[in-house]
Amino acid sequence: MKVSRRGFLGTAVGALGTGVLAGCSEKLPRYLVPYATPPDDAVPGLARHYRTVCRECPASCGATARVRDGRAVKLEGNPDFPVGRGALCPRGQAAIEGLYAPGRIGTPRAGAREIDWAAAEKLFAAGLQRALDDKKLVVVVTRPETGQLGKLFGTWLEALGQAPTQVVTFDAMDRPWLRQGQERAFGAALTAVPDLASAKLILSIGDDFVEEGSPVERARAFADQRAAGGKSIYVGPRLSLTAAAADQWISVEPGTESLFVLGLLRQVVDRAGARAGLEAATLENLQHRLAPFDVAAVAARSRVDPKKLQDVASALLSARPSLCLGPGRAVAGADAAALAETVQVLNAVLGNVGQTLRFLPAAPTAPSMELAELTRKAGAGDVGAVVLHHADPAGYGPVYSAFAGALARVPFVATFVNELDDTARKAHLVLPDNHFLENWSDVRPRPGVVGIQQPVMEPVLGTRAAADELLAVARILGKTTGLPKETFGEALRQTFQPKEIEQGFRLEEVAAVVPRLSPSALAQLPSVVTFQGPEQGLPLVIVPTFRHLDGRQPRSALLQEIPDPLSGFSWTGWVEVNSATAAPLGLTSGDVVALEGPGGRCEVPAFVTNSVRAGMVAVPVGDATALLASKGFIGAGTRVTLRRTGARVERSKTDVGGAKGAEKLVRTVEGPAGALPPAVPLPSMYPPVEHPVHRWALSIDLDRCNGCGACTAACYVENNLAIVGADQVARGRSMSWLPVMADVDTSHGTPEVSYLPLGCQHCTAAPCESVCPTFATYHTPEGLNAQVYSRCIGTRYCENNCPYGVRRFNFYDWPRAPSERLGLNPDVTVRERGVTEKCTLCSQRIRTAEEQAKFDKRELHDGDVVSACAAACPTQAIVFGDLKDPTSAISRRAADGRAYKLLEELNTQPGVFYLARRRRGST
Amino acid sequence: MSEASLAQIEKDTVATMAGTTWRYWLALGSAVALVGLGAWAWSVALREGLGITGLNEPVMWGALITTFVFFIGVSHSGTLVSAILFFTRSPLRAAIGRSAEAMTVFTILTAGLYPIVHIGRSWLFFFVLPYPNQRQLWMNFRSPLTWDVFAITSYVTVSMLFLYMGMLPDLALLARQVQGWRRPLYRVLSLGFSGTDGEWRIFEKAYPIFAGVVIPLAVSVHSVVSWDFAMTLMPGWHSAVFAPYFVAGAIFSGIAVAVLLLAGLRRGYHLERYITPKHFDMLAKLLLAMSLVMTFVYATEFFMAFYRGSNAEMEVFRWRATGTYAPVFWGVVLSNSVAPIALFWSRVRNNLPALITISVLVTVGMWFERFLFIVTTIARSFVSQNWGNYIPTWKESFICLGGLGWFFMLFLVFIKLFPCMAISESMQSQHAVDAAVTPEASHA
Amino acid sequence: MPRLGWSARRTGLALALVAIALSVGAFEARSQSAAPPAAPPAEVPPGQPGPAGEVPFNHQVHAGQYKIPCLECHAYADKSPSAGLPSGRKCMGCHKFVGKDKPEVQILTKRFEDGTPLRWERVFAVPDFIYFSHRMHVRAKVECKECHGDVAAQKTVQQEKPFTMGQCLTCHEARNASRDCLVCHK
Repeated sequence: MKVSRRGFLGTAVGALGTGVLAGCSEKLPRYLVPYATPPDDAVPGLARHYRTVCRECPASCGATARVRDGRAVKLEGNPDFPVGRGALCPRGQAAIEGLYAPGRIGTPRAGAREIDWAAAEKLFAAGLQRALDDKKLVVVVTRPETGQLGKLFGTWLEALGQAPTQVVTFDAMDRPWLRQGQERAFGAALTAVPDLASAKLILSIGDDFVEEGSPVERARAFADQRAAGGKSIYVGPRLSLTAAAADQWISVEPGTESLFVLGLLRQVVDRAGARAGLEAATLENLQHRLAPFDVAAVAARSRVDPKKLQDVASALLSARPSLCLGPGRAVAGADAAALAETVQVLNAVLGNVGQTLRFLPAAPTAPSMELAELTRKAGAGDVGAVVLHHADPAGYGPVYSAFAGALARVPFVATFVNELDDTARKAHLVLPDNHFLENWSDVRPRPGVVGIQQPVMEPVLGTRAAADELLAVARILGKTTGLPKETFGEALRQTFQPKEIEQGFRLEEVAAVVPRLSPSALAQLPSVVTFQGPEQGLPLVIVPTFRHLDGRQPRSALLQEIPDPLSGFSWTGWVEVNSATAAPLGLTSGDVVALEGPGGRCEVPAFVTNSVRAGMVAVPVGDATALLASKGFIGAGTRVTLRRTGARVERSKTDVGGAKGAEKLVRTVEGPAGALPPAVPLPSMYPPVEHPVHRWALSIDLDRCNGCGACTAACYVENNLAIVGADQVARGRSMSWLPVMADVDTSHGTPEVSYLPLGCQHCTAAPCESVCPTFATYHTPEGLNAQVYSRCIGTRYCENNCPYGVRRFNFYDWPRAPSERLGLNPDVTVRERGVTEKCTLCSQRIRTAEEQAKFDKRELHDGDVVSACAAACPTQAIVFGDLKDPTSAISRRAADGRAYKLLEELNTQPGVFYLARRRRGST
Repeated sequence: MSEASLAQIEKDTVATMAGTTWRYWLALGSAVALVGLGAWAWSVALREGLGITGLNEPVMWGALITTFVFFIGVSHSGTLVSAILFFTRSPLRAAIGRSAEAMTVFTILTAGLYPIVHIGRSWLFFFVLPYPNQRQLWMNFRSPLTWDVFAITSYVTVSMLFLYMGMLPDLALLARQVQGWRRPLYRVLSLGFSGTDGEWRIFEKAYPIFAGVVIPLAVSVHSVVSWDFAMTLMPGWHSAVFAPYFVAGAIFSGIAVAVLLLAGLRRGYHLERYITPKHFDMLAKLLLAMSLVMTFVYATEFFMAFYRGSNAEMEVFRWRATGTYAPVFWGVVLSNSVAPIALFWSRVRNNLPALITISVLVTVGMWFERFLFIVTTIARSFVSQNWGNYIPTWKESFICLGGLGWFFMLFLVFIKLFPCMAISESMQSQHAVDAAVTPEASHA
Repeated sequence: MPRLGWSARRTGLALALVAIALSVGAFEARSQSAAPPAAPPAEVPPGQPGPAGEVPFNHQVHAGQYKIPCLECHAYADKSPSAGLPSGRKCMGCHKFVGKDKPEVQILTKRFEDGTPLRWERVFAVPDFIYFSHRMHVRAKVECKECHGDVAAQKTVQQEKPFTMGQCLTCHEARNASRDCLVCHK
């Protein structure tokens, strides 16, 4: 297949220009351009799928790219790949946007000057040559590259006559303390593989595993665990997505989480240490170490009800096997490693090791250089050249200011990027790398799993693969010993079987190890985090968000546009302030406050809420306005002062979180086995509507939904939804077809958050259909509430009569950059100004699947059609299918006791139904 | 009715058409200016899209639809009043009937523009009309908007015929009276009506038919417009009281506007002799009555919301009275329910400035009343996570003002071209008509 | 009479001159139409298609005279929603041997050898909001000419039938195919 694709891509270029126009533009192309040489098996007009790996974050989920006429138009998961298992997070969905982003650069730059590749390579070689002549160091700074590219850096340096160890891995969101903690607890370098699904109780010490780490994988496992009746407790300062998905949220005095854990550990050891099967010495050591942490003392210091502490301990002891995770970024202070160690000890004593917590021998990592060392050497002027590979330290503000400063003293800095970042603006040479969807590479998310990243299309711009540029410059310098003769891609491809490339990965057997707790565990106890900064200031906690992680995609308009369901902010970061803390300051949600602390200063709107503990503030990372500042604080326990600036950021919706709402859309059942009272069919004066063949429908399990917004992002990409920008969103003109609403229930003390993806309900008795004067919207025989754009004159009557408020109106012809047009899905038209649009249940996918089935003379099977949202959902909360097919997954769901429809009393008979959220109450 | 000689009546009426004062030009000029402003704003909307309005998700209907409903409302009373007066053989009719009918026609013509301005793709508005086409496409008869199209078109047709029919004898009269370019115009328009007994007999037969048709039509049009809202399932709209409520509101605002127009005519053309304080007193009484009806309707709405026990509906009304638009709401109560109470006192009724002030209050109040019930419902419907607000933009309000200008422009041109009072009716008998059309009388 | 004669001669002369002029002009015109294009194929940047209309393709010859079936060149019409245009390679399949002396064929050959695609003027199109699948229509035994007209008779293809919703519906009705909006509207 490889060759055919090369041929295909090689000649697709000509077809691109017109294919694009034909695909998306309202104006049809004037010219048609056929291939010069057609590929053997590519048929224009039909989609092709390529397996690859998503590289938007180090988790490296498997991905499948849908390619139409030489253009990747949609990225979805790889169901066979162990990481992600077919789903993709919002960032992964936005990867396509990154591919066609107007901000991408296609030509190399020397400073601000655009130059051609030949000149760039000459410049590159010269820079390196000078460094070599001056006997200075050449250092590579790269984002995590766990595959052969990582190794290549070493060999390349060696070829240049440098030490292969001069490779610095730069990852602002790395959590080294977890590794260190394991090493301390078990005395060996290990990779932990937690098995959330089979844990009866999950205790997360501020570990937002639904947000960072390997979110898609974890979120799925966590949802399965919940579905299986497992419970979960989250200890942390803020109600993160993870905390919201958990059954119980315990917030302790910020910084004293370690005390809480130690107190817990002491309880566990006291009550069950003897039965934990530890060596006497180890146990004795533990008992001795934990002596000072009795319930009373801990409870007093960490301001938590002593009973709660004991309850958690009992819960842990009764629910075997359990799983303790953390500490996460939100609670990671100066000696997070010690805390991580304590958590691992807790796991060991509870006997989770080998049960829910499997360990693999850590992958042999190539010896490398620490950033600190590089900073020192560069500062001392020993470094002659630095080659950055998708690393943007300058973009991270204060934390890396030292390194950024040192970098300024390096005579030659070259950087491989997709878009100009802050570091690139200062670099001597900027080399535009291919997007990961245009590049060969491989990744090892964990030992035994190799993801193969293959290019799915020709580069959109004149970019080149970073690896090949390194090889090219090495050739120019005549130093090619040990380097591949052919391109990096060719070399890499030869190391895999065609079958492996086709499936997108290779699995290797790695024997798990069951480490024993080291007798000297807890040699150094974690101390209470002390927050530096002004005394009157409030402790600041920096938390990653599912949508932005650490903001490594700050320019992703799509991720900016999708509002945070809980705070309601889009296109801006925010600071979370507890209402009790906000009251004296006279703060209300939307007031812009100036945060000042050792980390720096930033102005962000306040989000006044009970989802963060009083007496502290939290800033979610990675958002355009708060980007520098918030990133600048990462990992540092600091205090900040809040000051009202008087400015305001208005949110378009006045009841975010549905607190004041009269109608509760989210329904809950008590306990794992709870069911809703059966709905009584309401009388109707109209004859019942028949669906002869199919009745397409969507079901959303509110117990599985964690509000990540992957469905929303997927919908944007699949259906060519317009991104309208901050101003228009603020005016309430967001075009999202499937916004995720939050529903905050405070009736049980601590706020309980449920998330509700609310798209068109595809009613059988749709209020919008009866009022449309032109039949632009009507009910199809297959149960869709269809919208015929070309018949719509924009009376917006339908939008007024939709009780769910899910219809959107095109107030303008929304602007799109030419490059963005390349990314549009040709199966979906671009809606003109003045027409109404809404969720179509991905009618284009249904059409395609039905046509294919008919063409192949076969029946349509369950699973042949999957809506974009259902395909994206990491937790499988969304299931799409045919209700007429009694065996389909959705029919099984419809029979579930938790199934209900929104605003049933209106008798709109929606085709979309929800499964009620399960309340387990507190442990 | 009047003590004026027939010749005098005729002379005065014709005077309104003859002499063109600088005041008239000023009025016409400002009306045209308003139209220009509105046209410009609309052209922007057509070029850029409805983004120039304050509309948003969830508030998809705003000032434009409000203005549409308002003008339909105003249109109401004209023809209705005139027809009722005709059947009650009220002496009032001769004086105010004509201008009331004209007002009706022009307000509908104005109102009819707004749905077209309001829709997203105005250039395709004909999709709502039934026309044969190869695409086998028809419009949706279940949609109240489709009913609107029919109701309004038939209403405007009948109102025009009613107006025209009533004018026939006068046109015939004028065709003999005036000189210059108008003469052939009137001759053509009068359709050769020469005032013979036979013609009069037919006229006397035909006219009541129109008058009879117009009354139920007027009621139905307003009910239909109300169904645009009542037929939805939105809290605060979905209510059986809407049809009568709209009709009442329509008459209410219609009377108020009629008062203003008549006062204007009277002042402008010194028709004190014909439009007497008695007329205003009667109108004021009608206004008062309608105001009481409206107050009752408001009360009913709130009671029904409470009585029905639908959370969403109660929320809507609670918010209407206490939320973002509370000032508007209480302002409306003040102007529509409280202020007219003063009309209980005859001193107020007979004090023209006071009456005019109240009429202005009512007119403005009714616009905001429409605005209020349209916006508060959709801004506050079932899904609270969708709740929002709406404030019209400048361009939007310009388009609304443009409509006002459009109406006045048409009206001013009308009174210049046609008799604003029914001359023939003012004259007691057929003989009088004959007399009037003889040359001698014309010299008077 | 002399005057007459004179005038007659003059007239005759004039007529003769006009006749000559005309014939020469006509000859000129004919010779021009027959003349090979002076300019060699325009240079285009690599990867970019050549200028439109540089190869005057003649359906009359291919589809009419030589009776080449439509699917021979529009090869995807029965496999894919889009019928596709013949690739340079497809053309060369015959023109490697056929009509090598023809200038347009020489342009074709050059383009193919440079690996640059040709650019064709678009004749048939449905709006962007319409989904039309060739393969399903071919499968339903709809003759190409039913929509595209008798291409075989046309030197350069012209659109005979308008591609309007009315046209589609009439046929769908006649063949009792689905008339659900979403079948075509996307």
